[in-house]
Amino acid sequence: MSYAVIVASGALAGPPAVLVSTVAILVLLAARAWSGTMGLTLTRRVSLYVDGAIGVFFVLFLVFVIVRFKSLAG
Amino acid sequence: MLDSALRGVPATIRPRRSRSIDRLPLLLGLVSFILWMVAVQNANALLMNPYGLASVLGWPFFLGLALIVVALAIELLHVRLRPTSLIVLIAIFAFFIYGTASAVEPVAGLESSYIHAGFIQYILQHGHALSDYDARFSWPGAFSLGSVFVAFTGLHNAIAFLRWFPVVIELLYMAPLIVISRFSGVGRRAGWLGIIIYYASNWIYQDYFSPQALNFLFYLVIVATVLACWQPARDEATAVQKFFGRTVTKVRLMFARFRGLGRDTYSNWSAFRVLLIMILLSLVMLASAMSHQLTPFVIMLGLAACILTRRLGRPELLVVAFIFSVAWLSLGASGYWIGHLSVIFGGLGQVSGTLGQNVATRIVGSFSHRLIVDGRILCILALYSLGVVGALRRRPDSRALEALVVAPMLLLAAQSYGGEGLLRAVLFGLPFVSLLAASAFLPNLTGPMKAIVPQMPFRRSGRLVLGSLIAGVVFIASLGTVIVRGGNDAYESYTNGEFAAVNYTYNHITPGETLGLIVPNLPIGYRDVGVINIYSADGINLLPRVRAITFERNHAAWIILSQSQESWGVNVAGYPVAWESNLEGSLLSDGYTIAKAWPTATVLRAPASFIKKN
Repeated sequence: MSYAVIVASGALAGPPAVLVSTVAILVLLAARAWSGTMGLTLTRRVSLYVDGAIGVFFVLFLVFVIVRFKSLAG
Repeated sequence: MLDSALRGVPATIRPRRSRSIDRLPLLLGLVSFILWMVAVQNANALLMNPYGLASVLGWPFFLGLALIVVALAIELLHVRLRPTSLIVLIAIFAFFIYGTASAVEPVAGLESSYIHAGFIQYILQHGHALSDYDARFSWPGAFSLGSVFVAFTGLHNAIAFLRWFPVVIELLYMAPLIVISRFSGVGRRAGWLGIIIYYASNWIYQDYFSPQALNFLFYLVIVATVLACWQPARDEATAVQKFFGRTVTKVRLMFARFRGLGRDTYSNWSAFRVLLIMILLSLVMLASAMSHQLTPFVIMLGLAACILTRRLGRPELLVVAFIFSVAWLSLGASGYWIGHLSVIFGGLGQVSGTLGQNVATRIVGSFSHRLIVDGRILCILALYSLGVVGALRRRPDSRALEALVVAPMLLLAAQSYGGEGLLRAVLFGLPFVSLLAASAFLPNLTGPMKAIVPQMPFRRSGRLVLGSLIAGVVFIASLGTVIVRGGNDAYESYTNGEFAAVNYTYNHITPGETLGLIVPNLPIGYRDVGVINIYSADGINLLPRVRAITFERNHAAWIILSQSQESWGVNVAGYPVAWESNLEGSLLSDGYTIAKAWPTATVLRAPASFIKKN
């Protein structure tokens, strides 16, 4: 039941989905920029996790935006 | 002894030290400014003919323009570059190009600036934007800022800002332009010349009171900061050149992973400063995303160009620009695209259609109008041709300038932007193509990348030849810009009578009534946003018989006929001279009465039977 609600286009098209993915990407980008600029050495694995998470949230962001366009554009 | 400031100028044309001409440029600048004041004082905007602003400017203006150009050329080739003198002279030059209309015309031109003042007024009164009214209200950031300024200054509306806004915002552009010229890889003199060429050639009237004018400043600030913060690391193509051609290697490296991550750049700034700059740039991008439809995407393209050409060390900025732009479009501007998404995405990939819409549809109207439009196209083509010569001659440390010229053009593949996409793309590339054009005269010869064409050294008389060449080109460019920039002023500038007519109508029209116009070429929209209806017959052919019935069918309770609308009809729509008088006669015979008249405008009132409130 809850799964069906989550994947319903109405739920994905709502502002929270886009907003949450936006904030998530911004936080991760800030962390990446902070570590990169301040010379903080991250292990290769942590770097991959950060970059991977940014990539995943970025794809989610695009999906949410497209679903929102398709659902609301009429 | 070599002057460090002369690096980038061929040795054979280096100027010799001279004290006799030290004060000459500023003196010439002062004389030219006095001539400008005399010219604008004597100009009468009411006498403007179809060729626009230039038709009312007397000889003092053109003599002053020639003197300021000569002053700039002398100062530019002075043995020691003097930034303060150059800034003063460029500011005077900017008044010639961008301040003349403000000084000559009694009220601000362009109806869009009045509409923007109206949006500001609405936010000031209601504390929020009006939804489902106008697409521009879906990006209300600049209007909100405007309302803060109006409240801060204690004024009742933003009308006072409109008239001198173009010259003020153009002068504000100078700060980022100086930074861009300093860090873009051209020589110091070429950098200053690039700024002069930019001011001499910007006929694109996007510096009126508008969000795009503010956002162009944002764009310049972002690019200037990026270029100042990150420099290109050494070109690492050398080792693998033996196996690949140099060009192939460069293209391959452009799209390599480490370049995408910004690793072939370096910064001399401290880590904390870079981080702070990134935060500030992100805030500027957020402001841009909320205040204009197009600029955030141009910022994105500009940052991508900087990454590909080794001028941006932190790719996070590019992602932030994308996220902010798309997130605002998706969330904040949903009122705009819900119901008509094709307006945004309908033009994807239709480059030739977009170009046709942007160019061909503008070349219409009377001979004078077509001459102005042709002149504009010619100015841009000449500048870009000069830019190509500069790109071929210079030895840069990266090809960022070339990339920044090309990047905005990619917009045309996505959107026609209501027929203005090409104009905007050219505008966003203008500062950079100006620097390339300057490199045609003063190419940097010390960069690590090879020039594409061999250098042509100047001989002993080089300084005089170069100075004359620069002065000639800048004068022709600025003359062309004065003519074509103000070429539409016959119907895009307004008189006191027209402003009074609009104000009179606002004072007497009641909410829900309709105001009828031939075309919205009036100082209208600055108040009562969303309260009254405005019907414009723009696009409807009123010939062969001027049709009063058009207004009657649309229940126009009030109609304003004016000089600027008549001029629009003659110059753009191809109507016969005095067509507006015929229309007025037709309206009067159908029952309309003259409510009030001024020498340049007439307000008509409909009979009670026509009036229908919405």
